[in-house]
Amino acid sequence: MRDTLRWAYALNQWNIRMDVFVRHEDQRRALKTLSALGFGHIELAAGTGRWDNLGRPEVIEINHGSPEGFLAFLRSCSVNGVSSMFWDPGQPVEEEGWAFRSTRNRDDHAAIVESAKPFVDFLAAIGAEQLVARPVGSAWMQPPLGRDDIAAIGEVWNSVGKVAAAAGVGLALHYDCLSAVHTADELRRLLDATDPELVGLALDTAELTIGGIDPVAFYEERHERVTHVHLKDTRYADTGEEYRMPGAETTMLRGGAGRRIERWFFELGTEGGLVDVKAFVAALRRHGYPGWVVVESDHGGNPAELAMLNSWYLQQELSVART
Amino acid sequence: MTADQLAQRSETPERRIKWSYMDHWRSNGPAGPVDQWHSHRTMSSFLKQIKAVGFDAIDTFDFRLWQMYGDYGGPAKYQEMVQDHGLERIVNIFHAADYDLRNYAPHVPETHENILEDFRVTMGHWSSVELDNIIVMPATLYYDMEPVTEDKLKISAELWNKVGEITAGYGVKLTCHHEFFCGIQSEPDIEVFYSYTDPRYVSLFIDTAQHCIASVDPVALYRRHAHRVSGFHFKDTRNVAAGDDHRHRPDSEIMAPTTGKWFYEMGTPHGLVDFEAMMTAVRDNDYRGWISVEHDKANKDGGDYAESTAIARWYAVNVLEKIYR
Amino acid sequence: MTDIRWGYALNQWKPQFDDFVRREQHERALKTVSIAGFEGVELTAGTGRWEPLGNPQQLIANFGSLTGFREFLSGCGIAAVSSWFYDPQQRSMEHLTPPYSPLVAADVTGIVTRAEWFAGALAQLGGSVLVVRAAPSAGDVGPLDDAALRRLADCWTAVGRATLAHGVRTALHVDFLSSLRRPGALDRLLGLADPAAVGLAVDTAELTVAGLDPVEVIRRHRGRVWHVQYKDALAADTDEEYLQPHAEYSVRQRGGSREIPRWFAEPGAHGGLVDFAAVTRALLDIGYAGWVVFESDQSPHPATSALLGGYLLQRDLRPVTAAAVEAAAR
Repeated sequence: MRDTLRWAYALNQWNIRMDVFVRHEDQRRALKTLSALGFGHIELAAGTGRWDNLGRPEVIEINHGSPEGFLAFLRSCSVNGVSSMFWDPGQPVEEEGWAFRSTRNRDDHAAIVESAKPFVDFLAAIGAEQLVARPVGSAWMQPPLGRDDIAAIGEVWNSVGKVAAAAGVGLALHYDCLSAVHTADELRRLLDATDPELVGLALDTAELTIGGIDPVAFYEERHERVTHVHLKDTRYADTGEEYRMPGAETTMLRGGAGRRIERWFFELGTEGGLVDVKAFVAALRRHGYPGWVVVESDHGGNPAELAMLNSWYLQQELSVART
Repeated sequence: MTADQLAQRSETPERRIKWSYMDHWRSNGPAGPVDQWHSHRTMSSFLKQIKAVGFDAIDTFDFRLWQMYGDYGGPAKYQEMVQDHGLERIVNIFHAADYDLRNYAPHVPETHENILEDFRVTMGHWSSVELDNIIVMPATLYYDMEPVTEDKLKISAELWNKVGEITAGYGVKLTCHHEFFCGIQSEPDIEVFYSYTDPRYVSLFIDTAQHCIASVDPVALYRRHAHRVSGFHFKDTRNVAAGDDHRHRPDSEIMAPTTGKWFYEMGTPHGLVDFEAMMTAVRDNDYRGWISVEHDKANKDGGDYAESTAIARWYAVNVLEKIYR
Repeated sequence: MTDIRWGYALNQWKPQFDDFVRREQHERALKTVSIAGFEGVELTAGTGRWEPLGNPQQLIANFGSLTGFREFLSGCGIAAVSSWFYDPQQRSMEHLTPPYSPLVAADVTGIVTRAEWFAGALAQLGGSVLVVRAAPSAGDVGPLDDAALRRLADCWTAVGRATLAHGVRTALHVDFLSSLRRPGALDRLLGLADPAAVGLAVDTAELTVAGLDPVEVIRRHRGRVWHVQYKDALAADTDEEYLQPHAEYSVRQRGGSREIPRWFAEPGAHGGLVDFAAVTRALLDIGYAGWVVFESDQSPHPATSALLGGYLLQRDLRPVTAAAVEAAAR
């Protein structure tokens, strides 16, 4: 994409089950699809195991030899590089003995900082800019956050941010609609508990909207803290308490929240979309937003089709030149 | 022209090749696969996807006429919708006829008047839009024409000369597309056929995969007939027809015993078409105009039209346009 | 044992003209139907070489003979073709004939000839019912007055008598686009047609979408129910959109003004409007003997639809029929 904003695309929409998107030729087809649509950079997502072979630095190295080998793989598909990588330290992984860690728990902090290091080093080695992290686990899995909890969460992210900054990598905390940090006020408190020099906000337009926060208004309010953007749309918002449903990942996001919602996340320009994408992008331009704008559709449907519809929207509705 | 415009022009020289997309689309609807003509919504989604990867225009089947009338108010109105999505126009139409020895067979003279009348009516229907080509399969199924004799080829050629005269009256070229399972598909038969056709009225449309499947080298064929080639379907195949594949009853295209899926997008692994040689030949002959990308039955065997389309465009941009654009 | 035999309609495997053409696809579908607990399959009339199961000529072209096709079926664990669905409005490439209308007297001979063609083959394939589209879409032909109903009755009586000569009964299929859903229309048509020659095919979903209760229809026409199709309905045409021109496309395929994504689904689908246990009890009450054919019409996952149908049959419906048999024995 040729534009004053920098556009990337998230690969997560292809990786919809543990046994798909494993073979290199499948990944090549996705990369070529994005390249043909004008996206020169991609966002990766952390995962676990040998079938999630774009999910951890050591697994990527087994597949491609080295960070340079991985870049060569991307470039063979005319994709230039990686903008960012999403990582959730609360997600147990095989490589770390399925350890269950929480950013609220100060006893886990040292291990979380340690487990961030390989990601930071890998991102630095491939020239990626942001480690995009889930700051805290799902609300339904834990008691409500007290003031000290937010302070504890802030501490660990300041520590991770320090490690990342030393390697020249940014750290952006990603709000999601199931997170224990749920309200606008909680999000503000989390930002206030972190060092603006070390920790930014990854603003996801659809996640904020589902969580009941207006992404345009929140960006206007805290634009100086926003260092990463996920751009996607939704047609639904949480009615208020759905994020607290037991097993909300399954019962709300996949199970339709009892409202028979088949799909929460949609491509830009979807009919009935709740995100004012044009206003949001105009606000990014107005503030001279310097970071990556990662277009994402999550697990919403046919990946190639969604990427094509998103690219069409960028080209035709946001006047972004494809090449 | 201002200096700025001149500078811009030297940066992006006018393209000699434009890319069109031939309609065989399917997407997954709530009750199974649907084509883009299913609804205005699916049509809009299709056109957006074609535009997003950088196609300039579309080709379609002429039997879509009825949906164009029913849903959009006719070809011109439908073309407005195409243009609203940032695409230029409809470039070519494919005339998918129901060949039948009883009433519609190019090598059977008794059926010619019926065929000619079909084209008179068809061209009238399409006169509201500017088309480059009307594409035909110039023969019946192979098994309905065999043995393929010089006489039959000559009779067929005479028919298409007359059809081409009709279409030329509408400013549209009649061009022949040689499916591997049609009566005129082998190299010698193609040569004989063109020796009897009038270059003013009958053009050749190179389908890279179909020729390859029929063991005809599409590049060599193109180089021999470049002066009368009026367009291309760029698609790939992984299989050459073997044994009786080309004359398999009742159908070769989907039912050939050796091969469940003949066609793949260009850029596919193990593809048999040498597209770089093809594009080099296109460049050497200074061809200017449209190349169409076609994906026929791309959704079979787990395939996906959207992805095939993106991969084909990637190949065009990253490989072919480096040779000629 | 009851006199009900269970079948499955193959139409859900062919959403587009270039689908379901190859032999191995047929084989997989037939084996799926068989293992799901069905003994027969219903075919849908089609034309041309990409409709290998569409008519007798294509069956012979593909399987050598009708016997060859029957052997193919039994090799997949399918005992019979239960029935064939025939819509006279479909043109025939094999016969070079245009669409026929049962409302046009001049078309009746052509319809009868074609129906006999299917019936003759059906008899050889172990089937017993030719299911015919009783009337064209309301939006295309206007309301059916008495004269129109009489023309329909004459046409189908002639067809029914002709197919009976092959041992095959003719059953009228009423779909939700037809004016036969209007009050009294179906009663009148069945009254005008020869009761020995013409029966009714009850399609649970079409009736439900049309706002009719299939249980009530079964009870009302108890002596005339000659064929049954079980499919579920996910929505009803409450706004009479079927009266629009070209409703086949605008309403049935595209869902009308409410953009219903899917009118039909396999029996027992989540959110389905049909109570299949109640319909089954109604059939047992009238002593129905014949085929009940499961259908989804179209499906995003045909094999899944067949297996879900099989589950409903085995877990919910067979106990209903077994209970009826037991009660009768007592």
